[in-house]
Amino acid sequence: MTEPGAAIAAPPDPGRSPVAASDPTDALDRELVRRLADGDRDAFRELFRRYAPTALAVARRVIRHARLAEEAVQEGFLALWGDPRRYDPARGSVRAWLMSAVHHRAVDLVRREEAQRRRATEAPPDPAPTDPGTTVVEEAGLREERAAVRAALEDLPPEQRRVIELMYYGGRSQSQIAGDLGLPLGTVKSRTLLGMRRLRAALGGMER
Amino acid sequence: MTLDHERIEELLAAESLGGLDGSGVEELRGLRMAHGADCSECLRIEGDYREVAGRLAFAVAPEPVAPELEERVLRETEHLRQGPGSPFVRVGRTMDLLLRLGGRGVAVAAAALVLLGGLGGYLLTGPGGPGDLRVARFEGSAPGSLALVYEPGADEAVVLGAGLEELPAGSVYQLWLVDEDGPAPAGTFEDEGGGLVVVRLEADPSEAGTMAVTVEEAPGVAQPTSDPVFVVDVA
Ligand SMILES: [Zn+2]
Repeated sequence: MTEPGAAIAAPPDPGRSPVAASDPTDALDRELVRRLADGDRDAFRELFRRYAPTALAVARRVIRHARLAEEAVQEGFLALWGDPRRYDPARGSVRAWLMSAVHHRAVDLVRREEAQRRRATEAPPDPAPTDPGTTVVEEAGLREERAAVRAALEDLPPEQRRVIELMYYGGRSQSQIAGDLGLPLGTVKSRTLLGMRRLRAALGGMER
Repeated sequence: MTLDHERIEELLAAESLGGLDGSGVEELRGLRMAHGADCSECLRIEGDYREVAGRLAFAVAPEPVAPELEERVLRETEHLRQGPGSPFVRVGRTMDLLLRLGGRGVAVAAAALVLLGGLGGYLLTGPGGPGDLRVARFEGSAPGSLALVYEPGADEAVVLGAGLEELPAGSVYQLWLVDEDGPAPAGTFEDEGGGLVVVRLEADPSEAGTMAVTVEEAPGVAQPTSDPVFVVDVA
């Protein structure tokens, strides 16, 4: 209740959703998803080339295991190919859907892998390369998206940002984070909520 | 309602980031079931947080994708039949929903089906049109959990299992539809190590009244040879 930032983090405003349709990058992506329904592999390749590099980077941070990260990417993208109706245009952008599909698989794999390691002592996973040494050339729309998301994260109070980063990029659960940081679980929960409210307001505002 | 929403929002925020563990997932499921799975405010909050979480991926610098990975994924599209009618997709969709909720409990899968209209959506769009899809959990004496997703009056139902004990070679789990005349076999299944079991029934379990699961050493027996390890009453 006495969390820093609590006073300024507004509750969600029903009129301002980050689920915005007026987004040129997304309009293009939606067209590609429509083409997937007709079995159009070129459309699929285009989506894969545009988003797999980001999906892979996130999956590697979460899993820290090159092969498993690739598996998460593969499954996430193929889920959309297998049934493009899984993506519901009323509920958000194609790129966020794809990233969530891959991220959730990555988190699931890391939890399963942790459970396995608790049962049998195995070698720890390969660390992901932190600097692959190559850059991926991207179109302008995605560069703007990166800048906006980074700015929104940087604007968070550091303690909220820390919790969200450990959770999303580190694949840690709220209770693991409470243990890692020596914080009460309730504090981790409220920081998560306050941080997500702020991100929602910041990113929703950008797209309007 | 407002109190519900505060708690549900807190859980959805964490869920979208992959931060819930099993108990959080269960809590979210229970709260949403009690509160109303189709509450538009909850669905909106969920959609918004998923959108925010998905976009957080873009704060990370992209990494080059090996050409072999792209080739592998594109090759898969040649073998993968599209649409909800393909068995792969049907199971894949269930798995997808389960994973998206970040848990492995069957209650989660069942809730996911109801909340997100996955397999449930498929059942509901069958020839009978929209109906009332129900989820019933089996009571069990064996490890793991099982749930039945069915629609009274529809000759189709799905049994979802998670965390079941792996059986010795040759043994199977056998499903039974039990009515006044006793048990009738309704198919067998095994836990193939994937953690999630999906069994499709071409029957209306609500006509029988009860479903049970036994462990059988020989597949396809006509009568159970042991006591049930899971039982559910079907209204
Ligand atoms: Zn609600």
